[in-house]
Amino acid sequence: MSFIGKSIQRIDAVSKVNGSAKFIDDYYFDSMLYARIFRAPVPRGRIKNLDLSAAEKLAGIKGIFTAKDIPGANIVPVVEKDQPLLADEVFNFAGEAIAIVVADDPDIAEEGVSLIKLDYEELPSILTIEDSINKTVPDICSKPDNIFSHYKIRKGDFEKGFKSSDISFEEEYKTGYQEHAYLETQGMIAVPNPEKTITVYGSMQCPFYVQEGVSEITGYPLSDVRIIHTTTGGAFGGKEDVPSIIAGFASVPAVILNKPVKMVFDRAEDIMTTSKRHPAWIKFKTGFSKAGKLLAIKVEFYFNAGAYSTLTPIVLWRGLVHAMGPYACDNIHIDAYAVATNTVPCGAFRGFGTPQVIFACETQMDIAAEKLNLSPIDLRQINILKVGDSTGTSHDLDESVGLEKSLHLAADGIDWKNKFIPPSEKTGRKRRGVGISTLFYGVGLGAKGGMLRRAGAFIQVYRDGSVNVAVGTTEMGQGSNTVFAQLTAEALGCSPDNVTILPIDTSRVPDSGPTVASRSTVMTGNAIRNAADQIKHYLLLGASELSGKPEEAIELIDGRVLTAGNELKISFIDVVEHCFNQRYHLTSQGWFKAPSTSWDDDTGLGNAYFIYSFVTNTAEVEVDIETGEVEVLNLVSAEDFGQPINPKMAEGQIEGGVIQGMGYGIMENLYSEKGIFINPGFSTYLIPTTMDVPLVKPIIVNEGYSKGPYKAKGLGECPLMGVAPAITNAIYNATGIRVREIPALPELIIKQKKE
Amino acid sequence: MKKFKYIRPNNLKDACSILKRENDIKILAGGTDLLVQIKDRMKTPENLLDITYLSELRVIRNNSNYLEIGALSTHQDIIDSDLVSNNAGILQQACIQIGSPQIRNRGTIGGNIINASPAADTLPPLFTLESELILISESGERTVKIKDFFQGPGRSIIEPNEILKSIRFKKHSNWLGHFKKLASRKALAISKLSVAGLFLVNNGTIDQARIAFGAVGPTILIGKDTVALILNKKISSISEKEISDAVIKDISPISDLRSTQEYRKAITTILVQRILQNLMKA
Ligand SMILES: Cc1cc2nc3c(=O)[nH]c(=O)nc-3n(C[C@H](O)[C@H](O)[C@H](O)COP(=O)(O)OP(=O)(O)OC[C@H]3O[C@@H](n4cnc5c(N)ncnc54)[C@H](O)[C@@H]3O)c2cc1C
Repeated sequence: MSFIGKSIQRIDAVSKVNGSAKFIDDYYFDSMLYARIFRAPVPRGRIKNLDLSAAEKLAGIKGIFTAKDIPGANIVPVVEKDQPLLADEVFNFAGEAIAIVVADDPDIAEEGVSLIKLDYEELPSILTIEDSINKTVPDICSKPDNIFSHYKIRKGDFEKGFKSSDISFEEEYKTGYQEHAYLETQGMIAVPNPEKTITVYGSMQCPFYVQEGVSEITGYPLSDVRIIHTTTGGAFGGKEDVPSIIAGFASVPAVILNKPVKMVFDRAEDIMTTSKRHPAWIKFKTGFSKAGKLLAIKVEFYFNAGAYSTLTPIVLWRGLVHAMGPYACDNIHIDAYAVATNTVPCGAFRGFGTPQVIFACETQMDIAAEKLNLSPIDLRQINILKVGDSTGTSHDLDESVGLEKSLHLAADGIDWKNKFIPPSEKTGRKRRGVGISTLFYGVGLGAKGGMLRRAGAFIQVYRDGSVNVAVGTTEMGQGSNTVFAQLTAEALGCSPDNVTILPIDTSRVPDSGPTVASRSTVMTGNAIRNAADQIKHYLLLGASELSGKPEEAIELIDGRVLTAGNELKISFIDVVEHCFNQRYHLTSQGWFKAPSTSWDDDTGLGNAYFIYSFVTNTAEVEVDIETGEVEVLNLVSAEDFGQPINPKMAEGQIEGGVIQGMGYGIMENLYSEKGIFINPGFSTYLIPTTMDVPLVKPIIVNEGYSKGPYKAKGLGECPLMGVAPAITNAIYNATGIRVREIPALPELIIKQKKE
Repeated sequence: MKKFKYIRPNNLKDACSILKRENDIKILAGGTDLLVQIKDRMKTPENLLDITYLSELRVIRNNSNYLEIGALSTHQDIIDSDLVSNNAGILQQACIQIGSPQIRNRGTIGGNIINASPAADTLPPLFTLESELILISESGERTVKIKDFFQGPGRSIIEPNEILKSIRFKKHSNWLGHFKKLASRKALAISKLSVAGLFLVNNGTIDQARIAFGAVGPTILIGKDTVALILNKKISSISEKEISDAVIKDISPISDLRSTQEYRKAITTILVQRILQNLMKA
């Protein structure tokens, strides 16, 4: 293989560094207008009157639009169709959109927003998981009992499991919000076309979701809605479903006024009103034999979904599937609930419902190891999934399980043998400790992903040997376009330099599902291979005709033509030229359907995902025992995501994700007062800066997956998820202070120390 | 952001007369506080007077037994100044912990003072140095003691037509100074709490002491009880409990998004202890 496992330079590196990459706010269209949003002031209320008169009189205002002006349906289509684009009659969270104000200039639009007068009756609201469970206010959402979704796993007999356990214990855990903090805020430009079609440009993960959203809102058929992806400055799940809303805000005025409309959020608005990682409350009970075998797991957990269900059902389901951790256990009983509150709707965030349960599960394992007098490594060694084992949902694993390897590599990477010393032996003000966590993660959308589990690709080879590739999953900073160029080059036998990955355009590729769930490399990668194979067939035929050698004896590698390892005088370009002269078809459509999965809602058992990635994280911290300040010194992440296509970029993904996970674990905290976030900016919502970044050691554990493109699996989300418990377990090892809540701020650690 | 008129004066005199003439005008120095507030619509001035080009305000000089720091001196200017390091090292300890390189190159000491945040990092050191502020307007100059200057968060006795010209304080070359700040991350973070202590120590006994606390009250607080406790005592003879009792009398922290009242109380005491421990080592 010539380009698989090669760290070629990112194809967008130069444009990102020199600033020539064009983000949505850099675009301008002739006679473009600007939209700003008028929003609900309190968590729940009934609109009595909306007085637009003062705003409408302001010079430069081009229109103000409310629910009744929406030409199509007033819905944001995600899983359920319960969320309106603009609140009509009632609003259900502070910051919910009520009107779109459009002007010649964004400042005038903002001024217009400030002139709107809303007369409303405040309705009783629910702001916390506890109140939602207790139904302090009944029926705040479209589903009964304030519960959007409930999923369960019933495997074996957990009561018997606990009875036969030598030790068992239950703990409660809490996790907070996390903001995506992508550098580029949400933004879209809707451009109406003369023939009553619309083109929408913008920053997003899922162009096909946006296409559906704009189609609903405008009433245009899908064929008349074209979405073009622009360079996207980070997403992390925050641009999965939300961009459909932003596109709606731009499209409604665009089609009514017949002018291009730009809608770009400012940072505070973005933090206050768009999706977050779900806060969680988790009750976790585990039982073990004396020897350390996991015999029973019982979990009950709740996610704060916010006011609308958005992606919550599938986030919750993913949390359910992973809640028992990467361990073989015969008796499992899990109930997962997503409850409604009058707060911002939560949604997708790198890890999609699993970092919360991993935090609980991996803290349980740490507590158990101490109770059992086993090292956390040994306890995991006894229980982790290996080839031949069955996951918590009874998925028999027959290949590509690199967890055991990763366990030992991560332990060695942090020098566990020498550094793991019980907290009781530590003295002094600054105390060091190490911690570990292990996890598995289903690649792709899984059994609940329905018909979205497919992807397309389109390849066209031009006469001069240059190649265009159109795909349906987006580059948002993770490097997928570079991976796609490598995969194309490998499959066709050309150089990646000759491959251009086109901006995603829904008119060019079939609906390929969302760019989420660490699925792009496997899904689009396989679609590219499928497309390339069709062209390769002609290239080999052409090469054979030109050289007189049999097709089977010919290899195309990096633009060269070889037989039996010897380079022929003809090149890739000669072959292409010949194929053109022969009128061979060097254009193709590729398609890939995900390998099969299964699921039974009554038992919660099945092959939930077609394949899993595996990670072990280790952390070393130094804790100031007096102030509770935690300095993370070292983070090691050993990850099995199959064959790395571009190892350097994979390491970059790991480094970034690990730091994001560290922020989640010990720093990032959204504060709200009466249901309104009060720190919606980067000076108050603190994420790690480069000064806080410890030494990060990425380790690639390559356990190939036979159905992946060149044996690759998925990586995108893996690095973030298990970092928080590795750090909090290290805090315990340093200090003897057990943290059951994240973020583990110094204030919490000191409070916990006193208890 | 609301639109504003941008005015650039030719000299200090010019600046004073513009300030007198125009209503609803704000002085722009480094802009690291003001522009953020304007962007967030917390402040909406009609006019901005950009004084950054008035180089006479960007000097650090010896003035007999005083050191005088022009209000436009940036945090980095102060860090780079030998005069400051020889006579008021404690101020440098604060400046070096402010924001990031960009903020330290842009933000000024004058802006840090006039913005009047209880968490401003240069203020506790300036309190311990018993600084005086020289304010100038059309009608002349006046000098105010820093301890009389602040009225609450964001509020001071400066008049709208006045410019802070400079800060001066006596040289403290023999004094031992310590500034400690606690924040949620290593850079770009506003203090959860801070303590400045300036001491004259003789044979392990504290002859003179000044202590000031940041972010644990509506303005910078002076450590009266703490100073009374430690003055003329052998440092080694002061117990933890005594320090804690005194510190808690001196401060009045609240819970907000940077920290909790409980934590601030506990940790301010610890920082004072650490400063005293450092003195013992010296
Ligand atoms: C990212 C970031 C990080 C920061 N970190 C810290 C930190 O760690 N510690 C800290 O203490 N601060 C911090 N700050 C706050 C700010 O940088 C400092 O307060 C800085 O010293 C302000 O100076 P400036 O020149 O930028 O003031 P400006 O923003 O220009 O002015 C601030 C106020 O003072 C007034 N003003 C300025 N100069 C004069 C004058 N000569 N006479 C009269 N009025 C005047 C202005 O009208 C305005 O009201 C941070 C700010 C940012 C944006």
